[in-house]
Amino acid sequence: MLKTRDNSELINRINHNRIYFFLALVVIIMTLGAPGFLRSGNIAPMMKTALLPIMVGIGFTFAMIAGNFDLSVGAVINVGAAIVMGEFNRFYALFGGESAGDGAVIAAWIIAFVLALAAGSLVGLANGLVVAKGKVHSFIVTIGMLTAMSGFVYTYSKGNTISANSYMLVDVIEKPFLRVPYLEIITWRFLIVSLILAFFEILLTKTRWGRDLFMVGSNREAAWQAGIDTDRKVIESFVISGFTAALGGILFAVSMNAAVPNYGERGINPLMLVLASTIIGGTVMTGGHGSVLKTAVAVITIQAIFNGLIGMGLGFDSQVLAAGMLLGVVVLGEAYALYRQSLKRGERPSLMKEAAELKAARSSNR
Amino acid sequence: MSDPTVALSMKKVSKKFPGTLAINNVDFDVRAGEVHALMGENGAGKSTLMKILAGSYPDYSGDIFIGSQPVRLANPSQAKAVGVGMVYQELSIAYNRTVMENMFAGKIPKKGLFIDWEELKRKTLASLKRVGLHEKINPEALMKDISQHESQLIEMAKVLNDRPCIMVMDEPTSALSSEEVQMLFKIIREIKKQGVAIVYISHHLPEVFEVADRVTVLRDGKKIETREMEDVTKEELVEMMVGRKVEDYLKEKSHSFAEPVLEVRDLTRYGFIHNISFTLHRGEILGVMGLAGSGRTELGRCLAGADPVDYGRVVLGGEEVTIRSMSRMLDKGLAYLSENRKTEGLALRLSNRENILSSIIGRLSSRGFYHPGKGGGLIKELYEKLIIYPPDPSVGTSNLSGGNQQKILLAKWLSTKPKVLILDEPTRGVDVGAKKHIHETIVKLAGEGMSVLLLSSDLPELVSLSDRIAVLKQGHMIGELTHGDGFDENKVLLAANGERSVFSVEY
Repeated sequence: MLKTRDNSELINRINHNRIYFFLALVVIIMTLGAPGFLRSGNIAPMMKTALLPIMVGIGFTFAMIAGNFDLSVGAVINVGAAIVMGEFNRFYALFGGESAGDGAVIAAWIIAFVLALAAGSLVGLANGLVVAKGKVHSFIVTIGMLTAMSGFVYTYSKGNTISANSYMLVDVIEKPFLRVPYLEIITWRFLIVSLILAFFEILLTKTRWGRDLFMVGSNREAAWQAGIDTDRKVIESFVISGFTAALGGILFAVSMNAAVPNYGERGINPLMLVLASTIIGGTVMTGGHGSVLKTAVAVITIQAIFNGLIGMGLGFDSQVLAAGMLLGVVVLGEAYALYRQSLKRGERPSLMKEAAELKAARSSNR
Repeated sequence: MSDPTVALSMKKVSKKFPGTLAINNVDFDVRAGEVHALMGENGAGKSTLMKILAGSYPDYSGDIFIGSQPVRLANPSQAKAVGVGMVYQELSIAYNRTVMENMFAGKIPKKGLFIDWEELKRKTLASLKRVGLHEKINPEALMKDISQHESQLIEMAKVLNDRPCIMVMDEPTSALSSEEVQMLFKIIREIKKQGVAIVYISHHLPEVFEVADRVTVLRDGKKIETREMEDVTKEELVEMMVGRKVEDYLKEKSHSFAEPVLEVRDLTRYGFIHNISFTLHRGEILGVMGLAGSGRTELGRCLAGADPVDYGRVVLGGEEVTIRSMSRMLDKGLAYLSENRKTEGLALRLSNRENILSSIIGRLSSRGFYHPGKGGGLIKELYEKLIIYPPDPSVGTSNLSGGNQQKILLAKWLSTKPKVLILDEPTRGVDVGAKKHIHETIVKLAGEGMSVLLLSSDLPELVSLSDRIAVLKQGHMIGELTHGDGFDENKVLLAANGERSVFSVEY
């Protein structure tokens, strides 16, 4: 009896940390199969691509831990990107443009960042209010918001790509501190994403706020009975999701010096990438369990698969197929585990001893 | 009134539901440091009375005093604040979270900005110690890995954290083995010593005699009596619960049944029901009695193919069948009316016609196309037989009364024209009139040759409909009462409590 318990604990532990095994496995396979996979020249751009979905994945994971899907992040990325670029240009011009010097650039960027982040958080607030107070399913609310926000971005940008009229920030944010192999991935953007990731991981795991959020996602009724303001928690999780999605978009746009209104509508959609990473990273779709760090590791894993497949000479189509299959396998595994668990519910412990004896007797009879 | 030991008194409390007076002028008091058993049949009003105490029904009438303070309980947090702790049968557990997070949800100790894990662990262990689990349970274990019995104790510890002066336990032993029950009783006695007033709801007579100091019996929403446990006998208690309402035996006469339709041998689902054997004859109504957690519903679900069967032989209509799925069992002529019509039985948003025909979509289809029109005659027949109101099958099922919804559910399974019909609590939450119609229909169907397995905890229903009553206890069939020997509600209740002397046939 005791032994099976130990085994299941081990399996549990492995399953909890499965994403690290996945990553290790992918790295081994790709190193063997795709020449040059581990070269710094390959790793650095790969990590760079991962920064946007990692940032967006933070908030997405928060929303899912509370038991909700925030599909609007797909558009909020572009909201953040468009607003930061557009508002920078507006205020830069207002402050006098090129003739005004560095002070004007810095002031304009600060204002643009604040406005873009506020816009993202506001979208999250709206999502949260409708889901928590209006009791509408998050899927419907956020898919509506996704469409509305795409519309907003097109209107705001008049369908054009917006570029900032100053290159100062791009030069700073994307420049490696050291031109040393592997360490060249460290840029300001990388540092910002890492810091924000660390901040939210700590918020989630080490504070009462975070533990209460888990409780809300795991059993809302129990959380409510324990005196937790469940509606407020849900709203806050959506605000965080809007905030990080916007910040992801802002940093991405700044690093490219371009806000494209339809980014993500062709090619691999960042929304799908984030959704797949969150689930593969172990966040439970119905809420109550998950980690932003593991979501980030899952993003890197999927990027490594994409990258490795290209290295093996396979195209874009195989990338999409591989990501889809990986997601499929994980979701199936999750569903099966839930089914196994549901079968055991209501089992009478008092009968288990007899059940074991009966089983033994019957198998020896055969 | 001025008795200082009274922790709770409810005076002339009533609660109305649409159509019924669920609690009718009940006086109920509990002393500090006593275990007060609250007994009564299903629907007697025990749970309603306790829900009033928990603050779930703010629209009650009457007065409630905690100690000598009058209180008005309008919501659960108010009830909690005045010292009422509820240990629910349906545990409110977050399975994905750890034991300690569950126990201190919303009040996790902090050190500065961060959680004080050491303090949390220490507090959890201290709390677990009160229920004797501090050496068995790791506070960091996930709740989903904790057994049901231990979950129950953890739930108790959680309630005790709030230092309640009144603790209500609703059927706390339904999922426990006898050793676990003894452990629970030991803990209850400990808590009692600390001056907590405990209300203990249960059907199990031996347990009540063992643990309770006083007992109050409710029947039909009214209080019958409060007695000291020492001055009351088992038979008296049963009589108080059941009353003298002898309902006429609905079947004309007990035939001798010769033709077996369903033979079950050693049916087993490990951990739920073990080695269940019985024979059901043509035209017979076999009642199955068992207290909460005895495996009654599990037996029905296994036979119907809804739950997996691990072992056993089933012969249906002379043919040996392997139970694989519900649709297969339906094809073989066995239908199962599930316990909960709202979650398992009916699609409430569909119309009555769609609900009734939903079990025979395959039979009404040809070449892949569904012809619901073919079911028109059948629907008319069923509507007449069951007297369903309103007599319009296009009405949405959600608009019907509970009784008529239950008739629709019965019609759904009757439309499959089963040889064997398993009824799981066929009249739960149904008004008196509909109950009578349903009972008459069941008897009529049996008269026409259908065999019925009646799983019910409603004693009058079992007694007035069944030709035989088989008794389940802890997943085993322990005996049988036959109508020929004469059975009444008292005997059935005693049998379900394991009183072996009343059986006609003992297994």
